[in-house]
Amino acid sequence: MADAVPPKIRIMKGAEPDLSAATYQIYDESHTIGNALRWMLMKNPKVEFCGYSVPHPSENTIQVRIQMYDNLSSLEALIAALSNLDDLCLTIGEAYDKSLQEGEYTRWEEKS
Amino acid sequence: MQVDEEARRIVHIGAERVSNVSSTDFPGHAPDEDQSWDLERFKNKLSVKIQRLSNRSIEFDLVRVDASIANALRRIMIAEVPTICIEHVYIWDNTSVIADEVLSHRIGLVPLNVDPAVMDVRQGNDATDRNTMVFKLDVTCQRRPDAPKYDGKGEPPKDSELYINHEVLSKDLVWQPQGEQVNVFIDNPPAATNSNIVLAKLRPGQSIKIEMHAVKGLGGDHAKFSPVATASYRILPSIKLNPEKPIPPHLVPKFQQCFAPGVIHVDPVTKAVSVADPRKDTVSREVLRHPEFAGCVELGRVRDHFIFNVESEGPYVPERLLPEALSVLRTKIATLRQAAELLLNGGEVSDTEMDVS
Repeated sequence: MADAVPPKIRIMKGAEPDLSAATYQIYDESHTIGNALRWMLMKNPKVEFCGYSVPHPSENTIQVRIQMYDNLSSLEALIAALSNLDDLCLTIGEAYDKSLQEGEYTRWEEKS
Repeated sequence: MQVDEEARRIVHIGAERVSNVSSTDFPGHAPDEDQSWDLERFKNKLSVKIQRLSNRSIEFDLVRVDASIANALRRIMIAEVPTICIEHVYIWDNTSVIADEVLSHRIGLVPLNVDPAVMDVRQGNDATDRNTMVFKLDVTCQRRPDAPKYDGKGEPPKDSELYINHEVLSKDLVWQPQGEQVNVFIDNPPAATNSNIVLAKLRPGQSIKIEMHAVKGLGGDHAKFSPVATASYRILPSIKLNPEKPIPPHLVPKFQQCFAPGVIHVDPVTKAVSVADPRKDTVSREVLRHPEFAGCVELGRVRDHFIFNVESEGPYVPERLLPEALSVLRTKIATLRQAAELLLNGGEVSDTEMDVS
């Protein structure tokens, strides 16, 4: 068996040639990214359908199915969703740091 | 529409069923509503508020995010924030009653105070001072020369009065600095976060001599690498009293008893009932069992209000765990984006060789 690392993202067989509908296999990811990415893709009004699955628990991959309206590219929608998800992380981080700095919370001592 | 939106946030809880369970914040779900992703709108609505912080745990509210985001953060805190743990144990001598492999397992589970940010992940067997931390344990049990004699009467003497080193503790792990580690860790010498974990028990003449190598790893590979003891969220309970059907004064104490302490406030003069703190409720649904309270109250949970509770167990102070999880998530996103852009620039649909027959 070859030890080569599979590509991070692979377009699976059966995709439309213009990628308006495609299934992406993502290596080394799980529900963690799968569900969050699915949610962000579904926030896009141009996405007709989006769903993800973990085909087998002992295989370290997820599959994300994206179908677009108006023959748009699902790959571009995927990239846009990833960038939106990144903005979301930044926003949560900023809001958290702000709350931490304001210090309006109960501080207490816990014994180990 | 404002009222509608607030009502939509509540997952309704009945006596025997839940309803309005799925989130509906997607485009095309309701007419004349723009539910598409809008960063500014998200920024304005989002609320992150730390409620309680101790030296070991943190409780914070994450409000107005989808369950998938909250769950991603929870999963990352448990399984994908790296820590340093003992992974290889070389046993030179073990004459204790505990078997080598059991002892090794116990030692692996000891949380260390090493900041994972300054260590690399070890690839294969090439150990360097950047990716491996060496500890030694050399303990022999002896009889105390001044041990009291026991004549069979009264309290027998304690082990600690009879023996030296009758317990091997996590504080007996001695760090062996390698290369540049002496300078890097000078202010905070590597050791177990808790110095009093019993690793083995010994009797005079027994000894344990081992060398241990600690490496960086993820909770997903082995639970010992998880930086948290627990990382969980619950959803804020919602209790709505029906103003048209107030609780009759003689039933007020019973009504109050249906909820967790501190949830229901009763006005001492008017005996009017109000909800003081729904956060304290356990949503036991006890009120729904009593026919006399039918229609008085509506139970639910606020779908997008997550109350996180995170207990740190390892090198991270509790308030650093969420930022670490966010940075792990952002790294994942960056890797995916790079791969997706490569695919986009690489041109057409890639090979279909992965067809599994």
